[in-house]
Amino acid sequence: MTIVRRGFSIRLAAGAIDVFLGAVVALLLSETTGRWFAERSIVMLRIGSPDTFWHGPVPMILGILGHFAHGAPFALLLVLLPEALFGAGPGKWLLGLHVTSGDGAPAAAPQRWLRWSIKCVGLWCMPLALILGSSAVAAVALAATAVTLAGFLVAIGPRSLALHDRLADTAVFGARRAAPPAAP
Amino acid sequence: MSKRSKWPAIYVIGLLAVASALAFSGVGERTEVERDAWTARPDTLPDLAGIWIGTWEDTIVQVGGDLSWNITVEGSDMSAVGTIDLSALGIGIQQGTAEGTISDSRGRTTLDFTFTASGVGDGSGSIVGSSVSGDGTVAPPLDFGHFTFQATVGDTSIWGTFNFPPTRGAGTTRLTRQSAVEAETWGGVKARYRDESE
Repeated sequence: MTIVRRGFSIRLAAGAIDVFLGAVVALLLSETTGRWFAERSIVMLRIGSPDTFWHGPVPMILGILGHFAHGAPFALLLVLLPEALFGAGPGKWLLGLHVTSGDGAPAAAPQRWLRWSIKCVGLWCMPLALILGSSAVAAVALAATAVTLAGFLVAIGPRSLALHDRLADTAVFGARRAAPPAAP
Repeated sequence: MSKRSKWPAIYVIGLLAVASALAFSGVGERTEVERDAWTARPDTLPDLAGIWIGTWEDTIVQVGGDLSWNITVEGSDMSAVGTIDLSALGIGIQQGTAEGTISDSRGRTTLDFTFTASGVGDGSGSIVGSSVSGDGTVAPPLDFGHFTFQATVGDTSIWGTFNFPPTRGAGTTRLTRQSAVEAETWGGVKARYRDESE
């Protein structure tokens, strides 16, 4: 086994595991933190005010799924917290991946936290928007989520570096089975 | 590279354990202390008494109108008079009434209520904690049939959704509690309405 910089596919798989776990945690927390964030959404979206911009079927669907949908960003943030604390979230840990410095050396804590803050900007901005009751911060959170998702696609490139890796000078390394020796 | 750390796995197991404990312990519904308090004080449902004014909006066919309720709670009895603007559906502003009873069972305080509006329909529902749910029927001439509704009651707002399975209609309702001054004004309107009815 050799330790190499890992590419887009396995990182996407790790992300899918994280999202799945985030959904499980969001379901489990739907009656506690989920309900609290759903109630804060009434303030954030000015629901009930004559001047609310929040009309149409989307608020109705979110209302039905509110305890889950409004609590999901916070739940996913909790699931991804180990990336900042230990250098690997659950998805990366299961697939043998690890956040390192750009050259493959162990990433320092400030580097890991910077990377996590950039990668999860939409996830921590949305709970912040609900706490503050600010639809403007929520709009920033949605825009930031779009940018970070697009930034993740950058990891398709030959250097396998997502936007948050480039900005924090980090990379994702993992073990790969060594190629068999060439036939004589 | 150093040996793979077990801390992420320990963290996730801990997170799932805490989340499961919160989910299955009923913390989100009501704490044991609160349940005891509710048992001892069956009048501690959300404070519904007052004037609630807002709107209804069918988000499928994009029509809506005003909605208002004047709710009175005396002891374990609730009564209300209200109006709903159905001009968008061609039958103008309609008036309705509601009646309910607060009861206490198995540590939960519940308000069971019925409502009716002549020429529109009727229904029933219940309020447990801050959650409202129920169903009813919209009679001819609108004749939309069976509908269900759910809502959440806050200190100053009620927000809910309704669905008409037979016609696939659906929408939202929002009500805001009015200030004491506005309530007094509404009281005058209500008194005049009663005078005119007699």
